[in-house]
Amino acid sequence: MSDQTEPTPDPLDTLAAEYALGVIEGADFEAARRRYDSDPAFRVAVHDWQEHISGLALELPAREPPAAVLNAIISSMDAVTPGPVAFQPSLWTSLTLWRGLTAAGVMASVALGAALMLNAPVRAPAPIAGSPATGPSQGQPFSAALVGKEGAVLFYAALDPAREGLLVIPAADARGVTGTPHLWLSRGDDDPRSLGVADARAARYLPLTKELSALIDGDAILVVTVEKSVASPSPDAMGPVLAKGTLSPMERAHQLMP
Amino acid sequence: MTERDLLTQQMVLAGAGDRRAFRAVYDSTRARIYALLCRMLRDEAMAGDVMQEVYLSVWQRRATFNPDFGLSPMGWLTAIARNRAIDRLRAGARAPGEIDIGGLDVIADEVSALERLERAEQQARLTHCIQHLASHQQSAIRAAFFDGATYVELAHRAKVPIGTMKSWIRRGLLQLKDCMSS
Repeated sequence: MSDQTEPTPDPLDTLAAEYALGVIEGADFEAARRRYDSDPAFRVAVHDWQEHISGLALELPAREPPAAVLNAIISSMDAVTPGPVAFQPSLWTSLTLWRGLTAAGVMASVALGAALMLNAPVRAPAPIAGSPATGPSQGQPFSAALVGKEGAVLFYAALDPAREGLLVIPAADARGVTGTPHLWLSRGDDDPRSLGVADARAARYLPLTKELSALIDGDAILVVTVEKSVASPSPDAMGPVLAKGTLSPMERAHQLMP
Repeated sequence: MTERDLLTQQMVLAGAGDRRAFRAVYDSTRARIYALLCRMLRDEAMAGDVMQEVYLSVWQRRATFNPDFGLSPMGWLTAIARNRAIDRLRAGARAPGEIDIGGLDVIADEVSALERLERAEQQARLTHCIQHLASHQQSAIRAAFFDGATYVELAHRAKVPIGTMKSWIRRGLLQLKDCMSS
């Protein structure tokens, strides 16, 4: 190929490629690293290159690591101080991301509660999973898989560890729901309490009053009914039950062991 | 749902602190990452050590992963693994070897038929694009990727001026990117 047909290199893109490939060193590398931290356009270009060249690793045949590696990772996870976090609402409301979540449903159903831990830095330090379980009143994230009559998970609900709201994410099978899904809190023989309207096609955050928050414990059942409108019906006029599930604590470290 | 979509979901859940999702990410990626580390470091014990560093780093930085930022989970993990391995190599722990893809004992690759297909398509595209590069460009890019070699080291190995090596790699990468994007 002649030089005349080659594209003119963009200096930013060239530096991003060199940084991603790791061929620069010394002062050039340090300058590129500072730019990666401070220049969003450069960071995007680096990621683009990292994505492109990562395929080279597929030239290698897969190779199983020793089991001791996983054991060492698990035993060290609690000692790791989480890096800075920021709530990324675009992730949690992305239909594209969560489409087909049912395929990973069993895994996700017990753990979505941790999602709202990302809000923790503006309140209190986020509890680290693996610390002693002391019950829902002490900030442990709880979540529930809300299962329909056919056995499919229709919604996931996650309780904010600060107990100020519920994140409700629809699973793929909820897309066929017609009508307005309404979320209720049910405890024993008490009348169900309305928690608000969910969305069968997008994640939704439902704020909790302190009164409702206090009612959520290990006996609480979340129920989704189908209503004709977004107006909250009285408990004795609820629509048909679409799905329900029990809030339970998120996964703990020892359960990861092979 | 593709393997990549599932891995992305698992990574986002892991980012939220979900340990079971993190375990799923590990299970889906461990054999690829370990193979890369073994190839780069040429030492299984060191590869195991760095493997721990990689996944603990992923756990520590889990909340920073965002698929909207242009990196797939595997791309992100590969970048972290390479950076860790390069740190070890440049710390003088082990000199990089010659270019030699393969040569390690291999386990049965227990993946789904769908994943095999996805990997095969990605691999076929990459192979196609790399084969369109001049042989010296292919060798230089592979050596940089798998050995973590710098321009200076690559130029020394190839016995060419550094400027020549920079030109080979820059042009090769641009051609590779254009081909992969087309």
